[in-house]
Amino acid sequence: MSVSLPLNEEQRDCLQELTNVAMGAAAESLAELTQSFVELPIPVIRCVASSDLVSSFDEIADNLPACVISQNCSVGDVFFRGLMIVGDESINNLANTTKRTLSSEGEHQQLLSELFDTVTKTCFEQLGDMFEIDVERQAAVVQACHILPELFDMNLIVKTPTTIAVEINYKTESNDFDCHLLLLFPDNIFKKLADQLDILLH
Amino acid sequence: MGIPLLICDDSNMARKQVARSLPTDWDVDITFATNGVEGLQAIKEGKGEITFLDLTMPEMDGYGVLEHVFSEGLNAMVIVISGDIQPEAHERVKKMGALEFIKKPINKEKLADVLNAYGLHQS
Repeated sequence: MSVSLPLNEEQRDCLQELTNVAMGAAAESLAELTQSFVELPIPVIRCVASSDLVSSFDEIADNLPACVISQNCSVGDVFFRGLMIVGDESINNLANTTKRTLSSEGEHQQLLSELFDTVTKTCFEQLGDMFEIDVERQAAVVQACHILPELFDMNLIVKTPTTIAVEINYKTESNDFDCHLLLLFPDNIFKKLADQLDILLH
Repeated sequence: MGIPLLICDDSNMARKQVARSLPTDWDVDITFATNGVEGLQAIKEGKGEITFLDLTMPEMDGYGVLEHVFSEGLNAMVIVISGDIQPEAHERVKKMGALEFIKKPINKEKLADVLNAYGLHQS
């Protein structure tokens, strides 16, 4: 169920442009890692009941086995979570491209972490540059691997009733890889997020 | 009457950033477009002799606009301003006829350098 976005149009536009630029910068890092041109859509911003994020995951990963990795972050006093969903098939294709072996679960998770770090490091640095505040990042945590997205326990990620989700689907042009990056803003920081956007706007 | 200048970007904030970055003494007549379809129409109406074009937009993206501009021989010098900073994106738009590629977020200095380099405005 979609919930009304608690941002005015100017704030929504600002958040979309900031994430567009930050996620665009991250696409360059992803292109280097995957050795392919990365198709870059417009980030989608929506406010959803946190319990419905799982149904979004079904659509995101076609409900095929996937991995979920996330990281708590903050920009100033705005706390958010970076989260990536990537299908097992895409991880296998990435391993082929980068000539890595995935003979153990440890190697699988290592490649997943490397992928997440490659994308989010650039994305969050760029985001911090635009907010003129460094983005603080805790250690990334692999939340689940080889799981059907519909079975993922969203309570591990979001503990508030509603969430603003900013999502982008990166797809490579030449080697059958795609992953989804989401920035999740829980409802207890909506006001702070709006205030931070207003500072940038005015 | 100033030079017809088009700023085509789906983001209101980005359009304002470009407009604020233009040299204050440049005699231009600014039109805004919020997607590629509107942008292409404005170019066909002669409002985009100089066009600042985003790539990632709804309805028609910047690549689509560039295709039409150059296949139809429309009168527009296009400068791409985009957050898609992949070197290949840069190469693609240059091959499609864009004059230059500027990385977002834009600022006065970056824009002035490009305008100077192409003799569009001397600051």
